[in-house]
Amino acid sequence: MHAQVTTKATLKPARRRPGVRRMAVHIVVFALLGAALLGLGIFGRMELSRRTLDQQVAARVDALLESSMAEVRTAMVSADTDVLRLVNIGFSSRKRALKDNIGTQVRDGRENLEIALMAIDTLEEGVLSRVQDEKLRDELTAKLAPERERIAGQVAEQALQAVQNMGMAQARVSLPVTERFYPLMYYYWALIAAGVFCMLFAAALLVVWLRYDARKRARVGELLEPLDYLLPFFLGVAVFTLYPIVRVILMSFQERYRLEGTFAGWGIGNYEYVLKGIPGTSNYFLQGLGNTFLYVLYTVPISTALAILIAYLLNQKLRFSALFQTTYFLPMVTSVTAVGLVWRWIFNRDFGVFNAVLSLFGGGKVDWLQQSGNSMTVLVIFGIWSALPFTIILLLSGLQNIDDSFYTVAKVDGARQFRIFRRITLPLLAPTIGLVLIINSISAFKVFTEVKVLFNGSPGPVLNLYTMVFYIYDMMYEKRELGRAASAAIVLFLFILVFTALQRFIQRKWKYD
Amino acid sequence: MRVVMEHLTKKFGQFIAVKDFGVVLEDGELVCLLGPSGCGKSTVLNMLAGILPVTGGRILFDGEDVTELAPEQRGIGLVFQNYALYPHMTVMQNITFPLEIQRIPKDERETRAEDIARLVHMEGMLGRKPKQLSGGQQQRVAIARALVKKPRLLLLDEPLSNLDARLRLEMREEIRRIQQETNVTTIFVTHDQEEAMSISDQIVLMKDGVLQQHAQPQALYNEPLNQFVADFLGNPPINNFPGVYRDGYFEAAPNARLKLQGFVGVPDGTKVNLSIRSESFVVEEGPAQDRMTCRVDSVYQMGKEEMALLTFGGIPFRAYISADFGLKKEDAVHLALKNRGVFMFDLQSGERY
Repeated sequence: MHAQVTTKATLKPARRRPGVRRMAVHIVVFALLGAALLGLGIFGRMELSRRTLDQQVAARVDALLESSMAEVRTAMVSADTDVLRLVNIGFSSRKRALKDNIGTQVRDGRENLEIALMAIDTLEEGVLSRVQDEKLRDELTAKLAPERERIAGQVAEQALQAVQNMGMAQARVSLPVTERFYPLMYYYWALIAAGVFCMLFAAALLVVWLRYDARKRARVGELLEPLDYLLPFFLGVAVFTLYPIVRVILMSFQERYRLEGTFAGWGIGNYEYVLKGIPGTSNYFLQGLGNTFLYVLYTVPISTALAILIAYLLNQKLRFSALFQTTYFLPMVTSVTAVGLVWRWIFNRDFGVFNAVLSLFGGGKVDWLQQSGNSMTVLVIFGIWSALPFTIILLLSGLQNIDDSFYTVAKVDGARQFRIFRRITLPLLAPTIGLVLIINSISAFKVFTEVKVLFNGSPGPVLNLYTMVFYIYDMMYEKRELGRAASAAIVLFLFILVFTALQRFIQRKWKYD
Repeated sequence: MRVVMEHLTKKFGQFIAVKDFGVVLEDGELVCLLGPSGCGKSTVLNMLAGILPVTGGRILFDGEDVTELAPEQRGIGLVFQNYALYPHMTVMQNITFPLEIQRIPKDERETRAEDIARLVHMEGMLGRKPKQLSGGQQQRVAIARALVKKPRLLLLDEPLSNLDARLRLEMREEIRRIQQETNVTTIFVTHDQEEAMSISDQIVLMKDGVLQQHAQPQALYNEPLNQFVADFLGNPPINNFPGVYRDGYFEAAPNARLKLQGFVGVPDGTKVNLSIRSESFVVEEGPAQDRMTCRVDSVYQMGKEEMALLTFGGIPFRAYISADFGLKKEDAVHLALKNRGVFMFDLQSGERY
């Protein structure tokens, strides 16, 4: 017993524990990283406040000066053009000195009212010093005297207003181009949050380090290893996926949110607008919702059914099957925009192929693109066509995964093509079909480019073909209502979520193993 | 059913997979198509099933020419190596599928499926899906599905390859039992000579698309027609001593000679292979010319016998020796040959003398 203990003790120092070192490195690196991020964030925050403060001071000075001058002018000026000229000259002579003066007083922390009174005095003095005529001087003084207190109050009020208006967001907008730009200051919240997270992580590791022995430290260190490998990927996800998602959710609750970061307030007003619209006018979101649902209901089943058929035929050992495959996959390598223009020609009323073919069967000329009743048909045809290739590829790979021996056995048993297809191919393909349905419906829910291209950039010939994404696009880029666009996007997301959940639920019954 | 194959030939482009293959299989037999991978045995099976068209020759089932008949018209049951059970159907649905195709009423289908399931001992599992079955059980279901439509010929394409060693032994016996109970003519494709030896009534041994020998298992083992047959059968493999036959003596090396009896008509000075099964050696003192003087390289205990690795004339070989002799490494022993299991083949052509 005793001997065993001693051997263990002598062995221990010889064993390498890479986990311990890894843990120490993590504590240091995360502490440093957290400190750096925190520093950058705090610096950004300070920088932004400093610049905001500068802007506020400047705004206050401007307000005090400009409104004092305007008020005094209105009070003094009579119909006499001579007086007006005198007043203007008097103002301009004192303007620069007065501005400096106000600036100093603001920095000294004087009250607006006090400064306003001083400014009025200076302006009055400046004007009166120019006036030679004794009588005119008395007259002007008399005009101003009773108004003094009121004017001062008003100017002070306006200066206060100017300061209040100059919030952080406004300060960002009015930052002069010439000033040195520190971009990280706009993201100080994210930086501080990330920094605090890193620091907390380092602190937690430090606690573990201090409280437990070497073996435990090594274990924690080994746990950290996989996290290290995940970190680069996770960083990308956090910056390019998680942050935007969180931002959109927040933005959807910020009413009248503007690109510069101003918003009227928090609330559900965006959702109310999107879902209710303005009473008495058409609600394009609801229209888009209806159109999108119709589009999904038409394109997804039709394109999937067609794709199953085509994939099944392509999977047969046909002559020229490479040629067929190329033909069917061609839409995938072409741009939707370019092909959309071609489709515009196909559906052209006078020169289009579609009408030409129809006329062979005695159909008249139909205006596919300009008549509102036809626009959904056109969109659905185009949508099916562009959804086909990817669907076919997926289904073809699903078909090729089905072992040939199933078919051989069935054939030896005497089954005909159709029965083999219905009883063997289709059930074995069901998981792939389910996947295809989900992928296709999600992408159909997001229909936008097709509409934009087919109808020359507008949602249908008479604004009748809004889709959900078109509405979002319209809100965002045309109407510049980012908050409303965000809330529409959230509603779309919820619809897709519910729809796919429903599909998955139904599909669970298809699973064969 | 009596199956006759006459001059059966199959070409894939320039490659000849099966060449002038002629075999007669009697009714109710279990025949093994045996041969190394790529020897054309599966091709023969597929031609019998009608999955592959024939390039030349004829196939007769009970005297009826079926060469041009479609697979479903031949009355064949087929079992694949991977069983090919439909994963989305239950065992019951799998077994009844061939009957469903024949538009047999549901009641009858299910009675027949239950009967056949009893035969393969799967009666309690009819509601399960293939994924819920073990490999051996899947195999039983595949056989049941092949048998349920009462085929004239049952074709099994390497049916035991996907099973582990223990299950393989069990299923081998099961297939034999089921075949004997149903008495259906069965063709069993395998590359495992041990499997073929233990299960079949007749073995058809093939190599490179050419029939080598068609005989009962024991006959194949005891009287191989050529070098390939002798080499392919038996475990451990047969021992080959290349040398020269001269004056009734076999000469492996100048100092390693052995007087042989019973080989007549072998020209003097022929280069031959003396092939001896491991169990055909006996330790026995006697005249030096009739004995192989060998050195023991190593000895393995195998229970009542020992497997000795020895050298004769510089050629290493294996022999089963009774443990009574207590052979040790580096011993020199004198071995006599038994009458059975000693063959002489021409070194070039592989033909037997």
